[in-house]
Amino acid sequence: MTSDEALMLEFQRGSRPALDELFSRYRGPLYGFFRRRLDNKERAEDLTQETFLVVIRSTSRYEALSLFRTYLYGIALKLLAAERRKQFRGSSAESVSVESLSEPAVSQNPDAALWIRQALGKLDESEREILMLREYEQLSYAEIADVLQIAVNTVRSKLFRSRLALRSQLEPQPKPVHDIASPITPAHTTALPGTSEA
Amino acid sequence: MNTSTHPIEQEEVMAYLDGELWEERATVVAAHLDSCDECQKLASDLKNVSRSLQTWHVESPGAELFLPVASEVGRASVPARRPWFESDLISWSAAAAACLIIVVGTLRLIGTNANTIFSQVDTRDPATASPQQSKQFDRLEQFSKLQQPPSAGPRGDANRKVSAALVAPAATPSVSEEAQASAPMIVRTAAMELTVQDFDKARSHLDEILARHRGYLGGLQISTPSNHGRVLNGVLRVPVGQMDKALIDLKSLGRVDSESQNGEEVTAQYVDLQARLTNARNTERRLTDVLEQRTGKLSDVLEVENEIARVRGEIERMEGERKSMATQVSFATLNVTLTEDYKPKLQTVPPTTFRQFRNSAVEGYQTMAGGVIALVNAALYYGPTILLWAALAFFPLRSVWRRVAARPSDTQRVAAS
Repeated sequence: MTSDEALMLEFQRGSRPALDELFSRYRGPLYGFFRRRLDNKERAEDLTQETFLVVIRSTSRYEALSLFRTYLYGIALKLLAAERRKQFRGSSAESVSVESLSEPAVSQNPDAALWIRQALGKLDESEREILMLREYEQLSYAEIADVLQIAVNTVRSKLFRSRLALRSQLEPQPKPVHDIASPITPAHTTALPGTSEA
Repeated sequence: MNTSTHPIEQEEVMAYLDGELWEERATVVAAHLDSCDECQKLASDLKNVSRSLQTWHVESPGAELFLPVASEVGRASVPARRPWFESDLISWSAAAAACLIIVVGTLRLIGTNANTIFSQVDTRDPATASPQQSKQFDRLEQFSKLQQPPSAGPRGDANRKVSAALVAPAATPSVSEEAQASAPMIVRTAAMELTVQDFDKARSHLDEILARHRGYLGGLQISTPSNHGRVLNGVLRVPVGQMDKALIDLKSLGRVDSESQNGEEVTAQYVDLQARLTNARNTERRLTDVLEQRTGKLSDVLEVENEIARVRGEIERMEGERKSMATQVSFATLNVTLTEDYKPKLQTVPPTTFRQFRNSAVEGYQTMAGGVIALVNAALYYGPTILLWAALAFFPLRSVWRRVAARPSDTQRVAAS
């Protein structure tokens, strides 16, 4: 199978099928990335498209010095930070409508999913992001460090802390949750290190 | 658990499970895990955490999530690796444009001061010029020497071209875009007052002059005041290149009472307008792209459409301004006033006697009526004031009068004694 980086270089040379292949590989994972962090399906889809728009527009600047998926998730994180800032600015004026439109990500086991969302929501923001990048996006420690622009040792220690924190919450059996869980990322979250606006 | 009793850190157990350890270290950790219950418990917990997290699935993206816009792909798939602004062609073009702007700016700066000298000397032969003009020509010569490099070609030709470009706009009826970009744009106007002997003939000649110089009549008004000759006020628009000839022809219509000319440079306004127009067009194009390529809420789409309509309106207004300005530059405006030389006609036949009596009676009646009206007017005008003062002075005056009247006269005093 052709590597992502080779496909990207082919697209740089004008190959449209290479881009189609990249899109088909990352369409689902990238959508999942946004969907787990946002409570609006349409925005998750929009941001997925916007991430690829940024990739397309900055094709000429891409250099195969790092992995393509690191590059891709780096863009996605910046777009996500911008989206959260936008939501935070608009939350005071449109708080009611936003809540009414909120639509949590679904799961095969809704109760478990809501409980996981709640548990993740209690973690420190940077630790939560590292944990999610590891568990859901399957990024390695080095890739997470590259995306967040922090040291690998920091990634490892924060990941360990977050897992231990989650373990302590997992120990009691999950009780049915009747209220609608708040999104994992509160509206007033701050930008992650190295995630300035795209 | 501490490192003194445990050769393996807890984080290493986690890294081992994540496959993040080097092979040698992974072997060590694996061996330790086989023998350490505590680390086995930790590994089991960490696996449980990961397993629990994996129960959160999200739905698949909808069918509407497609690869964004083919046009973007076509635009971005250019094989060039360097950004556009780093290409040699663009860099050299920008440098050349900057040099050109500096040269043109310098020439225009000089031209502002030397404009008068250039315009006067350029069309005159130094040999036939007056002493003052010769002096000016000498200054121009010195200036030309300063401007020319030592190895320049025949002296004067280049300067004449430059001076011609600086002094007057192109002599063609319509100003092209290139000419507008290179030459200063000057709106020329002139005003002339003439006294003509034969008004009707002058009127027809005016039309002929317009036709000859491919001009048109911007406005015309003829009035006939009493005891005065007829007056024609006309606004003539002639191509700027024909302006001087048209003025010469107009002078032949009669005696020139006054003449004035004016030129207003509008280059800066035109360039500014052109830049704003370009910006507005770019904005419109970007908005159109946004409307075509991006998805969004209906309110956003409507907002973009409203913005496009607003920008379109601005573009049309600026287009109108630009055309109007170009027309003003292309066509000079001549304000002409023709006044007929008034000659009162001599009354050769005297009026009849009856007519004289009648006229006298009418005039007498008018004089009488005028006098009465003037008297009434005076009474109405001064009456209230007179009445007021009379009322105020009445009682004091009466008192004085009574005292004077009550005092005995000398005769009565003598008689009484």
